[in-house]
Amino acid sequence: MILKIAWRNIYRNKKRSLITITSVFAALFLIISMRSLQLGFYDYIIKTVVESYAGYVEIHADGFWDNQSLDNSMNVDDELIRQISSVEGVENIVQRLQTFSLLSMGEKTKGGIINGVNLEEEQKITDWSKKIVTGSIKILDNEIIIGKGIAEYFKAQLNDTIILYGQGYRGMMAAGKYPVKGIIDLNNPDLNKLAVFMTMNSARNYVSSDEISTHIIIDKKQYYNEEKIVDELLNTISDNYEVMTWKETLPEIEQTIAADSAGGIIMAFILYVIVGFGMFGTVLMMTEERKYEFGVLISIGMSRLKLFAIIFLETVILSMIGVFLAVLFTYPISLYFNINPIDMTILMGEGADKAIEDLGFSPIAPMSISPGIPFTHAMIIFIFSLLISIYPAVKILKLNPVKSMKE
Amino acid sequence: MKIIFSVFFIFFQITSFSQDATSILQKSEENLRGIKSSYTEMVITIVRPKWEKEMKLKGWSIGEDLFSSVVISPPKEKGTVFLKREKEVWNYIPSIERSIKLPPSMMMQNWMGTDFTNDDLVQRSSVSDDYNNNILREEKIEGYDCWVIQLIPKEEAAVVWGKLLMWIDKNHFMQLKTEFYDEYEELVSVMNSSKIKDFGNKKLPSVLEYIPMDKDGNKTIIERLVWNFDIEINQRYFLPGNMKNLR
Repeated sequence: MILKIAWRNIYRNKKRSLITITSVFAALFLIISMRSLQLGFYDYIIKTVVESYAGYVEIHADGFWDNQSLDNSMNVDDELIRQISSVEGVENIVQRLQTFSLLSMGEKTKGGIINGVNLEEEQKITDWSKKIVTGSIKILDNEIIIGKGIAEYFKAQLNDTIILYGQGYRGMMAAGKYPVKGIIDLNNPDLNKLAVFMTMNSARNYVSSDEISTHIIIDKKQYYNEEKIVDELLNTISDNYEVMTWKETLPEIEQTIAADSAGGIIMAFILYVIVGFGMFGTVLMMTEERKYEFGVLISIGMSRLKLFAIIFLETVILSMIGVFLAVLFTYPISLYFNINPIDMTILMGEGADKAIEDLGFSPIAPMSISPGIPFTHAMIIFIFSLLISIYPAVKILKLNPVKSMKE
Repeated sequence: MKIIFSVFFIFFQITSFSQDATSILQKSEENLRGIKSSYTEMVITIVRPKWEKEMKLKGWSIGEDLFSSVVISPPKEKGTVFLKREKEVWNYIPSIERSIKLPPSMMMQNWMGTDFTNDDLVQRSSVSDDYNNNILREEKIEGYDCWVIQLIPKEEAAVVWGKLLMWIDKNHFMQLKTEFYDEYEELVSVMNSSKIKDFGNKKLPSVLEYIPMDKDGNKTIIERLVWNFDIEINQRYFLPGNMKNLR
């Protein structure tokens, strides 16, 4: 009954309803699109950098992070692997051996990170073959895959030989010649300029040690909270190891996202203020306009509570229609750009790709289709309509029917 | 007259004492500087808190300007050559078949993972020319009577130390111990020599131990197994282009 009356009231004054719905729709449309784009970009960064390379959780020998020397490496035994696998949420475990070295080809020299990896195991975490630009992912011992940036720097092609020269394990010298068998694009310009991959065997041989590893990378089950894994790992394994999440190992990504996200939230806040006052304006107008009507209704015996319920429902219905429309319109757009990511170069003009690459990210932004975004903002609008309906509620409670009808 | 004489005598005593320190240092330097050429086989042990590494090297030298060494073991580093020609340092690494001339920026880096820097190999300062000296006291080290000589660098000398203390034995003028201090009089490192042996016609300490003070548990020990002096050495041992043939 009350719902019916509320709906009729909305339908009665079409122009007013339309204005309210449009203002909610327009603001929410902007907010949802903007946040989808931002959050989608963050997800993409996290996915490319964290999932494809750094891993959500890392384990090192205690003290390795502060002094990343091979002398702070560890011998990983079956017992440790068993302990880690027993932790809930752990999907895959891979070991890596990472060391810094000089790379040289012809007259040029640059620094790089040598990664000893077990490619069959790594394949379980991300599909490496997709990232290969030229050459093959299947390398034998004493062959290397280099990042795209290194290949560009040296103008290296397949089967060119690169010289690696650095510090080995326990005072040994590390030096060797390796043919390039693959060029990889890690979707991260910084990594592309540094990363060199070889088999675990070759890397251990390069640094003159048979059994050491520097990193254990843990791939979590999707949507599983990495902090929870860290807590449980700390309880399970001994104190000789340190456990870190990507937020600690790659703080710059976390910080960039936090800073950028704060800007987005401020924008959203401004839009909300506009929507809020738009909605409030309509409700205010409506309350003043309908004072006579309220007076009549109360004087013929309608309870003030019921009257308020009608007004409240009207506000909620109006805003929810706006929300519903906004979600309905943004979803296909998000979906489209999720599948066909936006190239920032087109959006921001020439040079933007370079600027973003300098920050260490790829200039590609797919939109997020996470249901959390429209839901959060729909909730905020709902809370807004609750707050706004306080005004007519107070008015109705204080309404003097005789006086209001006289006016 | 008597008083004047005794004053003169005391004065004479003092100057002769100070003369003494300089001549001790000169004699001690001549011990090593007088060498025209040498061939040596040595074992270098790098001691670190968690591990130790042993390397065997052969070395040749002519005068002070030419010096080359080649690693014999461990097998993985075999054939690695260090060559010093006056102020240049060259490095040959067999596994990459490259010779590298060390740039000045790399001179302060560790030499083959030891506690010595590349610069330590090249620089030569003369203790008798670059420092003011005086004898502090006399002490016994490993049964040898020693003078303890304090060396303060002269203002114009290109020396990194603030002060050196040197223990030189009275019979053979061997430098048995040296303490290196920085400009704040803080002990930076200690060099100990021990196990005196006869190498041909010379009596010299066969073991040299270098201990940096700022790194706990770090130490480098050089032990000479063979040390021949004033022998015929082909100049080819000191040619950068010939480093790959040394063994």
